[in-house]
Amino acid sequence: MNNKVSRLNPKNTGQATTSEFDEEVARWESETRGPYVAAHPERREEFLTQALKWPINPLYTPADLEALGFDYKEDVGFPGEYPYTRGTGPNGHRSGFWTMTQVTGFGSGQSWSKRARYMLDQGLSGLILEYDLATTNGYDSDDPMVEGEVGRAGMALDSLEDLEEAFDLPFDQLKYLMSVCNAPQPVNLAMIIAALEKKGVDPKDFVLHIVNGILIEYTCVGRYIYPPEHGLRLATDCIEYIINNHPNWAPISIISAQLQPAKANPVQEIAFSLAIACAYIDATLERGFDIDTVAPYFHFVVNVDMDFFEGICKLRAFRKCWARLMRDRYGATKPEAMKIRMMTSPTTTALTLQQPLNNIGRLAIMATACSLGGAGENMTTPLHDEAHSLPAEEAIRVGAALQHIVAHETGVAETIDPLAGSYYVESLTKQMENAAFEEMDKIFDMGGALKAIETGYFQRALGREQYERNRDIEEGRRLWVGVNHLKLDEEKREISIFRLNDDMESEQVAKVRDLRARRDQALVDSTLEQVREAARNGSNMMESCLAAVKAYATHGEICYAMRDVFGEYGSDSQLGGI
Amino acid sequence: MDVAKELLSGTILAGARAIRWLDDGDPRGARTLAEIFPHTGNAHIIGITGPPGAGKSTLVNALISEQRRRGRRVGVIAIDPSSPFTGGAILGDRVRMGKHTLDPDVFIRSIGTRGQAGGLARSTHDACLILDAMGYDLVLVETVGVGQDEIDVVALAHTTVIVGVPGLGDEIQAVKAGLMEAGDLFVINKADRDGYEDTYRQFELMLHLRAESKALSSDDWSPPLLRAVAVKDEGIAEIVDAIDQHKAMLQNTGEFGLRSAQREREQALTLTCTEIMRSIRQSADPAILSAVEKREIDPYSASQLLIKNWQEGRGT
Amino acid sequence: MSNAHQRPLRILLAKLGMDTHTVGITIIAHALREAGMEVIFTGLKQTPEMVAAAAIQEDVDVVGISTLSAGHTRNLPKLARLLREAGAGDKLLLAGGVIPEEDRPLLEEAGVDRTFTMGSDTRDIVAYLNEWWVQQLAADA
Ligand code: B12
Ligand SMILES: Nc1nc2c(ncn2[C@@H]2O[C@H](COP(=O)(O)OP(=O)(O)OP(=O)(O)O)[C@@H](O)[C@H]2O)c(=O)[nH]1
Ligand SMILES: [Mg+2]
Repeated sequence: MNNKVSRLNPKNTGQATTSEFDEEVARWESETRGPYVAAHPERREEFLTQALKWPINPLYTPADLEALGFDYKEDVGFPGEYPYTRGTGPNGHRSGFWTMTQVTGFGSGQSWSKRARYMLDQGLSGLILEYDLATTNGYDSDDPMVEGEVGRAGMALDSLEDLEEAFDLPFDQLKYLMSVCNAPQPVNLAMIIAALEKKGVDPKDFVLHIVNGILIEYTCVGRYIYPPEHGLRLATDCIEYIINNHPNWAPISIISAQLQPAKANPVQEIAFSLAIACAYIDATLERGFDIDTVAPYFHFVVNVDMDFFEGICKLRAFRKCWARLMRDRYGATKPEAMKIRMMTSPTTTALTLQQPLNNIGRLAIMATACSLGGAGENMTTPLHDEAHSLPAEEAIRVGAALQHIVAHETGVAETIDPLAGSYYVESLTKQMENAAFEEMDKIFDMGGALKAIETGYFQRALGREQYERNRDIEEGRRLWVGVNHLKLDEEKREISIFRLNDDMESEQVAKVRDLRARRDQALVDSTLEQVREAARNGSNMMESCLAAVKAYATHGEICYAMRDVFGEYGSDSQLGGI
Repeated sequence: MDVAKELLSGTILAGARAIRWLDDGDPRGARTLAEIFPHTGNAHIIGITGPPGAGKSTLVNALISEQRRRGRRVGVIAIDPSSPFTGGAILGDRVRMGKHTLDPDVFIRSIGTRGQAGGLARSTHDACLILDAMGYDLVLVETVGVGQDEIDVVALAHTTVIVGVPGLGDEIQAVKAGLMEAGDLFVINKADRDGYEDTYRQFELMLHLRAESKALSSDDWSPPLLRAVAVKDEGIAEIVDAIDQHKAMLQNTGEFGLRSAQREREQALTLTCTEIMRSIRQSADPAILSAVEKREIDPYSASQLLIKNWQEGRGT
Repeated sequence: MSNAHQRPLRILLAKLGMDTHTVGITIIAHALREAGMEVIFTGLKQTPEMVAAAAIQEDVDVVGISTLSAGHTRNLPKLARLLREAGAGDKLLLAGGVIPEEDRPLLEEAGVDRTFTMGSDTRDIVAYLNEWWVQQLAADA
C-alpha cells in the first residue's frame, strides 16, 4: 500500500484560510486584551499542553477551526455515526453507564478470589486480572529466574488448579473479566477456558477479554518471552481461535494506557497504538478473515493524564482516527468495523507518592475527563495508593465510589459529548488527528509496527520523551503538587498500604511441586510434545495448549516447550531507549 | 591484593582493577603493566569496526559464542563514545552480550573514549595487554561507531573486521575511503534486511578495486566478503573460520609477531609524545602565550621559543 | 575537581528480575552521563549473579539498581551478599524505585547504602554521588 494514510482524506489539507473572524480577533487583541496584558503580564512565558507541548492560544474562535479546514459533518458528525468523534454509541451514557472496573491481582488463586469478591461487593461489575511477573514471563513459581517475585506484582498462576481456586466466584455478578497475560497468551486462554468448563460457566453468559497485547510488551512493558515475529503469531492464533469459537468474547486489546505511562505523548499514543493494531489486523487478515469481521474485535484501553483537554481530545481523536483508518486503509464498509471499542482510565503516572490523599482529587478530575471524552464501554480507575504498592482494600473502595460519584453526581454524562463544538476542543482534536496520521505514515514507511519494534524506533522515541518530560518537572516548567510544589518538609505517610504475606512464595512453590508429583507425567510429556509440534508446524496453538493444560502441565512447562521452538527474546530489547 | 600477580593467575577482580588504573591514568596502572608485560604477546587481537548501529555488539556477542564453542577464552573491550561536553558516557554495548556475563571464560569490559579520537579509547591498547596477560586467547575490540578516518583499530589489531550494513546509502562512500583500505575481513551484517544484494555488490566492487591496486593488495591475503545475520547467529562460524585463516596466514608469514612488535613500538612513541606534549603545555611560559594572543609575536616564533625554554628547563 | 575529570565515577545501572519498569533508570542514566559519569548499562531481566559479575568485570565504583515490581526484599540482599563474597563489597550500592519505608531497615542491614523513591530530583542524586566520589578520591590520594 503506497497511499499515505495522512493523505487519504482529501479534506485534510491543513491549509489556512482567512476569515472575517481574524479581523475581529485582531481588533479584540489590540483594543481589549493587549492593553490588559501590558498592565498584567502573563504568569508564564509560554502556555503549552502538558505532553505534546503544543502552544495554547489565549483564545480559540471559529477562526481557528476555519484555519484547520474544520468541517462539522466531516470532522464531528453525530453520535453513533461516522467518524464517531462524538461517540460510537448513539445515545452516549443516557441509556446506561460504562461498566465500572478495577485491576486486581496478587498472591495465590485463593487470595485473588477473596479480593475479587470484595471488589464485586463494592459495586464493580468487571474485573481485570493481572498476573505476577513469573507467570507473564513464562516461568513457574519454583523457577530460579523468578525467585522473590512470586505473587508480588500480580496473581501467581502455575496450573489449572490455581485458576480453579481463583474462579471460586459468583459468576452471576461477574459479567466481564479481562485477563492480562500477553506473552503466554494461548496457555492462559486455554487455562481459563478449561477452568470455566470445570466451573460449569456458560461461555455465552460471560465476556472473557484477553488483552493478548504482545507488541506493546516489546515496545514499553517488557513481559515478553519469544522474539516479536513469534509473539505476533501466538497473538494471531488466539484471535483466530476466539473469532471461531467464542465470538462474544474479546480477543485483543491495544493498551495505549501502557504507552502513556512510558511517556508517549497523545500523538505517539494514537499512532503507535493504531500501527500496532494494523500489525495484528494484517496478520489476522492473512488467515482468511475479512476486515468487516475482524475490525469489531479490536479493543483499546486509553487513559487520560492531568492535562484535561489533551486527555479529552485524545479520546475523541482516537475514535475518529480508528474510523478513518478502517475505512480508508482497509476499505471497511460496516459501521461496526469503524466503531472503536474502548476502555478508558485515569492515568497512574499522575499519582504521587507524596501526600497520597491528594491523588483522590486527581483521580476525580481525570475520571471526569474520561467521562467527558466519551468514557468508552468500560472505565477502570487506578487508586490513590498507586505509587506505594498494590492496592489496599480501602483504596479500592474509594476508587469504586469515585466512578459512581462521577456517574451519578456530576451530570457530565447526562448529555452526549458535551464539549463538542468548543473551539479549543475541536481544534486540538483535529490537530491530534492530523499529527497522528503523519506519524503513522512514518511508521508504515519503515515497514510497520513490527519493524519499528525491531529497530528500536518506538523505544527510542519513548526514551526521549521520558527524559524530556522529567526535565519539565525538575526545571519547574510543570508544577506537581507534593513533588516540586507545596512540598512537605517532613512527609508522613497518610495511608496504610498493602503488604503481601511473606510465606506466599514458599507455599506456592510447594504447591506446584506437589502437583508435579501427583499428575500423569506421561500424559503431560505427550501433550507438551504436541505443543512443540504445533509451534513448529505453524498450526493454531490453542488445541495443543488446551490438551496440555487439561493434563495439568504447568504454565511454565508449556512456555518452555514453546521456547524450545521459538527461542527467547534477549534482554537487549532496547526498552527504555538507553 | 597484589594486582599484577593476581591478574596473571587470571583473577577477574585484579584484571578489572588494572584496566581501571590504566584507564584513569593512575600510576599504579603503569607499574602493573611493567610487571605483566613479559607475559603478553600471545592473544589474537581482533578489531570489530563499522558505522554506528551496524550490529557490531550483536556480532561480537555471536562471535563470543562461536569462539567459546571452539574452546577459546575470550576477552572483549567494547568502546562507546564519551560526551565531549561533560565527559560522561552511557556504555551500552554489553547489553547485547548479556548471555555471556556468567561465563567465567569471558571477560567483557566497557570503556568510554574520554576525548580520544580515532574510534578507540586511549587505554584500549593497555586493556588488551591486561587481557592478554590474563590468558585470554583472543581479545575482541569493538570500536565506537566510526566514519572514514577513525581507524586506529587497524594499528592495534592483528585482524580487523569491517562490518557494513544494507542501506548505508552515501555513507558507503565514507566506508570506501577509509575502512575499505583497512580491513582484513568484510562482513555485511543484517543480511536479512532489504537492500542486502545492492550493498553486497558495492562492497564486491570496492574489494575488486582494492585488489587491482598495487599499494593495497597483497599476495598472502585477499580479504573475504562475508554475510551475517548477527541477531540470528547466521554466518558466524564462517566469520570465525576466516578470522582463524587470517591468523594462520599471519603466523605463517611471521606477520603476527611483526604486527605485535610494531604495535608496542608505536605505543612507546605515542606515550612519549603524549607525555612530552603534556609537559610542554604545563611548562609553557604564559608571557609568551599572551604575547601571541596580543598578536605581538606569531605562533611559529612563539613555538620555537616555547620548545627552547622547555629544553632548557629540562636541562637544569 | 580537575582529578574528577580524569577519573570519572563509573556506575553500573541494572534492573533485577522480571521488573522492566524503565522510565526511572532511563532518566537516571542520562542525568548521570550529563554529570560526567560513566554509566554502564546491563540490559533488562538480570539475575543478582549477572549484575555482580558485570560490576566486577567493569570495576565500577557504584552499583545502582532500579526496582519497582516488589522483588527488592529478596534480590537486593542477594546482590549485596554476592558482591561481598566476590570481594567487591566496597562498592556503593544504591537502589531506587518503589521501596516502601517498611523495607528500608531490612535493605540497609543487608548492605544497600541508600534508597531513592519517586520524585527524587536527579540533581540531588548527582550531588549525593559527587559528594561521595570526592570523599573516595580524597581517601584514595
Ligand atoms: C509507569 C508504570 C508502569 C509502566 C512502565 C513503563 C516503563 N517502560 O517503564 C507500565 C504501564 C508498562 C507498567 C507495567 C507494570 N507495572 Co507499573 N507502574 C508504573 C508507575 C505508575 C510509575 C513508575 C514510573 O515510571 N515512575 C516515574 C519514574 C521516573 O520514577 P521511578 O522509577 O520511581 O524513578 C525515580 C526514583 O525512584 C529514582 N530511581 C529509580 N531507579 C533508580 C535507580 C538508582 C540507581 C537511583 C540512584 C535512583 C533511582 O529516581 C527516579 C527519578 O526520580 C508505578 C507507580 C509509581 N508511581 O511508582 C507502577 C507500579 C510500579 N507498577 C506496578 C506493577 C505491578 C506493574 C506490572 C508488574 C503489573 C503486572 N502485574 O504485570 C506491570 C509490568 C511491568 C514489569 N514487567 O515490570 C506496581 C508495583 C507494585 C509494587 N512494587 O508493589 C506499581 C507500584 C503500581 C501499583 N501500585 O500497583 N507500569
Ligand atoms: N535485522 C537485523 N538487525 C540486527 C542484526 N544485527 C544487529 N541488529 C540490530 O541492530 C541494532 C544495533 O545493533 P548493535 O549491535 O547495538 O549495533 P552496534 O554497531 O554495536 O551499535 P553502536 O555500538 O551503537 O555503534 C540492534 O537493534 C540489533 O538488534 C541483524 O543481523 N539483522
Ligand atoms: Mg555497539
